[in-house]
Amino acid sequence: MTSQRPHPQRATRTSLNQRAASRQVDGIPEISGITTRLRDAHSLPDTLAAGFEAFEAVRQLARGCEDAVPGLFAAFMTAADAAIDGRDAITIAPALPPDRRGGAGVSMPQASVPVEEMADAMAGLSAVLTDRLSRAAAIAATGADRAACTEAAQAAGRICHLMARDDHDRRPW
Amino acid sequence: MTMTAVLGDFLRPARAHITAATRSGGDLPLPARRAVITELDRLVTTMTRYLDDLALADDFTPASVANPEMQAALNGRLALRRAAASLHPAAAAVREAGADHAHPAAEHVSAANSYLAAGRDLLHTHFTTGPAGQPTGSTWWAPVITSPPVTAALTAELAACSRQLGAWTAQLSRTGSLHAGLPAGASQGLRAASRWLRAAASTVHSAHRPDPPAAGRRLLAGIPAGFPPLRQPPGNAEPVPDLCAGISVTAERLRHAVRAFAGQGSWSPAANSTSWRRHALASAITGHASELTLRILSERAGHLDLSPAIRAQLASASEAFSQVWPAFRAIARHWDTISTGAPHGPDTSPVAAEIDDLVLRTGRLAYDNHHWTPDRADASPARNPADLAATVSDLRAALGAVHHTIDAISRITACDTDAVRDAVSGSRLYLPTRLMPEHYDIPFPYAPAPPAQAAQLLGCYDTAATATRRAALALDKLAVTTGSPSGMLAFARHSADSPLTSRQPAHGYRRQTQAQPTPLPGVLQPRAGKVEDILHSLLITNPGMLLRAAAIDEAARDLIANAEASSRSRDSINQPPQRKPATPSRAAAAAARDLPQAPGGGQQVRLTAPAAAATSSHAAARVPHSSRTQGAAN
Repeated sequence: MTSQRPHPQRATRTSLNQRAASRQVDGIPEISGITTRLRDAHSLPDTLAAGFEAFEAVRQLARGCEDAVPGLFAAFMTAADAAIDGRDAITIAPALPPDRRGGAGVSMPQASVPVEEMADAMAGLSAVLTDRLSRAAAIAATGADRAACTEAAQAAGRICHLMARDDHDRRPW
Repeated sequence: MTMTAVLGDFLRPARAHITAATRSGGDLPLPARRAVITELDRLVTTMTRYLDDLALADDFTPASVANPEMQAALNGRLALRRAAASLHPAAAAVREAGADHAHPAAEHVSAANSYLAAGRDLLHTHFTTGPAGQPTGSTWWAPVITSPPVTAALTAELAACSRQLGAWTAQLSRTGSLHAGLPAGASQGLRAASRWLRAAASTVHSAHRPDPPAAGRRLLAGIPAGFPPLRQPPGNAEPVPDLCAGISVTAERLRHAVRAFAGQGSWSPAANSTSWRRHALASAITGHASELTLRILSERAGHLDLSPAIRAQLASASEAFSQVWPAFRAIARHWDTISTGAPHGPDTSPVAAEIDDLVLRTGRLAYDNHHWTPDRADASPARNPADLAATVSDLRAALGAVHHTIDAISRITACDTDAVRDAVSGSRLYLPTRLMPEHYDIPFPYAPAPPAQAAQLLGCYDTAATATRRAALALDKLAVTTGSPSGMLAFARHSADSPLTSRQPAHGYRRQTQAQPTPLPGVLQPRAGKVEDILHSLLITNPGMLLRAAAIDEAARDLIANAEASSRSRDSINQPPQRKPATPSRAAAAAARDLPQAPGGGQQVRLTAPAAAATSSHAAARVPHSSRTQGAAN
């Protein structure tokens, strides 16, 4: 993917969405799979493991989208940063099982998925993350797990906020 | 928007009050003249302290002889010291008499002194006292204050004040003749002070024909107080001028924060990867938005028919910025996996705490959305060029905002590069083991980062530092060319690279003033040295010659003082160490232990009278034990 400079011409002002549609990255199938695993996680360790994987996926996808549309550079950069916060919070949770599935990552940029759709997918995944991690914080037995889940849920909330399509989709977190 | 006070806020009114005072002329009522003399004494002392604060080279040394600006500062300082020393006894002579301090002339002089004293206090806020008592710059302005242009401008400013005061003091001394009721000592002191004040004015003037560089004067007037301005959180729908002003305030606060945070990389809990990651993220976003702003301004410069040179510089600056944000993006990507380990609390740097203000404002300047945030929902097209800069003046203001932004980012990056280098050398960088290949079996959440990866991170920082410096220099040039208010940053950057002077230790001023003749009642003139005496005896009144004579005398006094100190030091080394005499009681007790005991009783044999016993005990203590016992036996 080549880097694209910000440009002041009217084209930038009038065709943000058109240009977005022309730049594509992959990852939707992986996001669907991760979302499913996150929803299916019933125990705290499973939720944390799926959460780690989800944050890592968001980070990688956000990085892949940073240069796609100049107007969304800040949004994707900040989303990747928030994903690191969430992932790092989970990393030190005592209940996180010691396997390494989280390092698998997502594939990109292979198939053709519009950037706007990617952003929607990330928003959806982070909404699920927020929900699941908030629930996990409520059932966590130790303070360290509770703090990790709470902090990670806040990071997911920030991603959700950043990736929301419009004000209607943005919600307080 | 509230801005920090700058030195010009004090220098300008001080000059205005001096001008107003001198317009009163010399024909003042006697009580008013007494008050004026007292206030003049204070004012000239304050002026002298400005130059006393500078640790200048010694007179008659290559460093001073070869440098006209240094020589001017030395001469000005000497002349002002002499003027102050002449005014002390004049003020003392009228102290007991009734004075009218409410007279406008006295009030003007008093006000000028207050402004100048406050200005000097402002300069002192940029320095702290180091471990050895020496002043240490505590802000990024400190090297600017001691730079050649600012020192030249300061001496020129004081010379201008001296010129006005010298002429006025001469008038006061004439009308204050013996027939007008002033004590002769006061008149004489005024006349001497007038000569020295005019000497101070002329020597400084001769070094800067016709004036010191404009850059130095701008810098001097623009020196802010050494503490950050109040935070101005981004408001709702700030218009472009407010955004530009807000950016300069935020940038100044960040510069202070960076300076305060610098050097804490090895111990502060806030010196962690979360802070550095936030800095890189914000720098990438602000750099991206600033490049867009510059391209809009470039387009607008064409509409406003600005000179091709300015347009070319704008294009060049845009290109320089296009290298900045990718460099920070690369750093941010490295921080994706590298960290300083498990986060231990919410500690982040003071820079990270405020840099979001800069992100929001630079974004709102670049994009056509008053409420812009990094959120996707706030993504907006670029701002219309005419909306960003309706006039050339607006264009300058927007350029200034970008200039402040890159200057702050440049300083943050330099600080972070050092801190990350410390972290690398201290092996404080880690990777989450969960992201490592499965064959690594490490039972901890984090493992040390591979050296190669840490080296790549450092390489990215070096790239970013180079890119930001290049962009800052491009903006320096552009700001000076267009006359942007941020041109001060350019002058400051160039001036700070070559400091002329340092600050005098706090005790330095005391030492110098103590070396001055103490004003004693009845002593009407400062003590002149031998050379100066000879010139007086030859009826020489040329201020330049008298000043040189005073400089020679002062240098001679310094030389003799140094020689005496060296001599004392040499004597103390050559002298044999003096033994501390033992106290009589302990020596006597020791001798007594060696004395034979009286048979059959516990009583000691008393050989001498009690008064002599103590003396003999000293000698007894120095002879060998055997002979003492023998002698005693004999």
